Amino acid sequence: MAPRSTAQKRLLKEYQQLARDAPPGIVAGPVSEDDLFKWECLLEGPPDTPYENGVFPATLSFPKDYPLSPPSLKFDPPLLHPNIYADGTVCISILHPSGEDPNQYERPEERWSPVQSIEKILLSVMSMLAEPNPESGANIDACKLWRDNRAEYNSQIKKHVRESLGL
Amino acid sequence: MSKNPFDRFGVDVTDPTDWASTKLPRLSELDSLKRCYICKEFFTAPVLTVCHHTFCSQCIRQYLLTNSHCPLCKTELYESSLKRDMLLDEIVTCYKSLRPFLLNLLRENEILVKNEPDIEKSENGPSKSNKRPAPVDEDDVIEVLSQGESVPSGSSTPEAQPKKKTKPESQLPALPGKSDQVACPICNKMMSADILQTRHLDDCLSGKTTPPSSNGSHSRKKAGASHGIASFFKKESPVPSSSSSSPSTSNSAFSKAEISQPVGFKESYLKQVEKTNSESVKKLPKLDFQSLSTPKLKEKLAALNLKVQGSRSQLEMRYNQFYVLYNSNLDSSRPVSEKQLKSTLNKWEQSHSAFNTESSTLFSSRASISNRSITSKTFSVREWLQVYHQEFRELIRAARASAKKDKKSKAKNTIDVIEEAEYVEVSKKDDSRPQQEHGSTESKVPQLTPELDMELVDMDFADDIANSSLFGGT
Repeated sequence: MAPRSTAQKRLLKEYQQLARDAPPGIVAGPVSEDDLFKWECLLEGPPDTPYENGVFPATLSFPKDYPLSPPSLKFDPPLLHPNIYADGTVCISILHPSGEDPNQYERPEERWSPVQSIEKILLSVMSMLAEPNPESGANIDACKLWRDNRAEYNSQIKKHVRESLGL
Repeated sequence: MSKNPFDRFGVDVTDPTDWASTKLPRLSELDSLKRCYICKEFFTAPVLTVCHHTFCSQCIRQYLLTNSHCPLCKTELYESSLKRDMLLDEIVTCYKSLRPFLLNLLRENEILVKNEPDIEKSENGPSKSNKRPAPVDEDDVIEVLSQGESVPSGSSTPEAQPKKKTKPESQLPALPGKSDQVACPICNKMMSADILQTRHLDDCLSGKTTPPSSNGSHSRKKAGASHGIASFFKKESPVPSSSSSSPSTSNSAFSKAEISQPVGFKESYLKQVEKTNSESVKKLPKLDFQSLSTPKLKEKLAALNLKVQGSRSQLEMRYNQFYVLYNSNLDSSRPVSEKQLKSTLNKWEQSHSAFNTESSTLFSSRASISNRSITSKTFSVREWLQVYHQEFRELIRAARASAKKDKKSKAKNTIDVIEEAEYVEVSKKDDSRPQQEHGSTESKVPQLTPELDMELVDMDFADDIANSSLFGGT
């Protein structure tokens, strides 16, 4: 099967690039080479954060008109974080469709544009893990916990990390 | 690292990192500079924006259908302001044609220096059968059969001129025991010089599949060992050329490769500029769909010999896609025929979800809404109520009438109790959806079962449902 669409070609290219030279702590690739629109990735928790030592699986789903539209990223199992919805879907500006923000909150240059890449998304997610943005919270409970009771927030995450590692 | 899973896709996946393992890793910078930010491919018909960014014509035009600023710097941008960059077009085309040679030369050198087997190469060995014949194929390491090459080519290769490449090749006679075979300069298959010259080279250059032949050995050492392949070729070529004749044939093969390039890149560039300045090409106009009736839109499509069937949104998308394809083709120095554009358009339609049946969101026709599951995310209660408004009314009327009949025979109080009890039971039985809390009666409605309780049969319920979050809203 030869890829026909721009999306498939570009995904292949990004796959190759990531396979050859991935940034530290990031592994990503299509679940099956027959469907390049579903990716699986493993993100390492950034050091000096409660997520340290954790390895978090997530799935990337690409629209057919990628790279014109952004993919969506979902942690599976969900991760406790102010910018991750309870179902695991990540909410950061780079994953929002390009153009003006209807809420006038994000600047257009922060949002998705076809010149971004999967690598950049995953790097942004890594830095999001390190530095939550409570101003545009997706998970209100996590936001509150993060703001009001950081110790409890940290310990809950550490517990999750330990459990996910099977310890 | 070098496990190459991309072979099976039958396309070239070239990448700037291809250079990382060569003698000149910095060439990857040059490589990435010639790539479009959107598709990550080498530029095809590059255009320059007002903000001095360059993209493939098709990529940026497609993007500008829905956006109005540069994807890189967010400067306001309109399609009409895009300018062709013809020189870059030629540079990229030229680079693309040289890339495999250059890559080969620089890799070859490294291997000779290191004198260790390359993993990629040993990989390619077993995959002979499904190797593609594509002329530019960087993933299959291209090797030129020469031993003395490592010495002089170090200085000559970075210049990347077609002429220079004949130089290492001319040292072939120094090679002992491999007189009868030369590597195709394009696909690197090993074959006799005769076959190469007479049949293979033309095919290879025009991108056709090459005649059945072995895919050749890849490293110099391996080539030396593979006499089986050599004998295979001896059968085909009438007289295996002697080692002394080999350089001349291979040289002429190379010069042939150069000649078969119809016009040099420089000439092509100058011609193109002249041509563009002298004639004014007509681009397709952008259509304002809002002020265009469907018959008028169909007229426009028919005038372009495009298909006119499909829903309104499909027609619009078809026009837009053709508009992008057509106009970006005009930006190319090597435009393709309109027929080819149309087949590209057809392929695009086939692969586009909006032209397949699953994509119901685009059309609000009744057929599509009934196909949608109530539990699906895109389900809209309001839409559903609108579409089935008439049916709801009739059912209510029927229910009222039958209830009246019942009333005559039974006392009113008992009916209510019985009916309600029955109804709850039934709805519990066949309501498979998860939202049950208080909604057994309400959730029943869209399924249009006639057992509606009289208490509920009131037109107000429609609004209640629409407002309730029972179905997750619109």
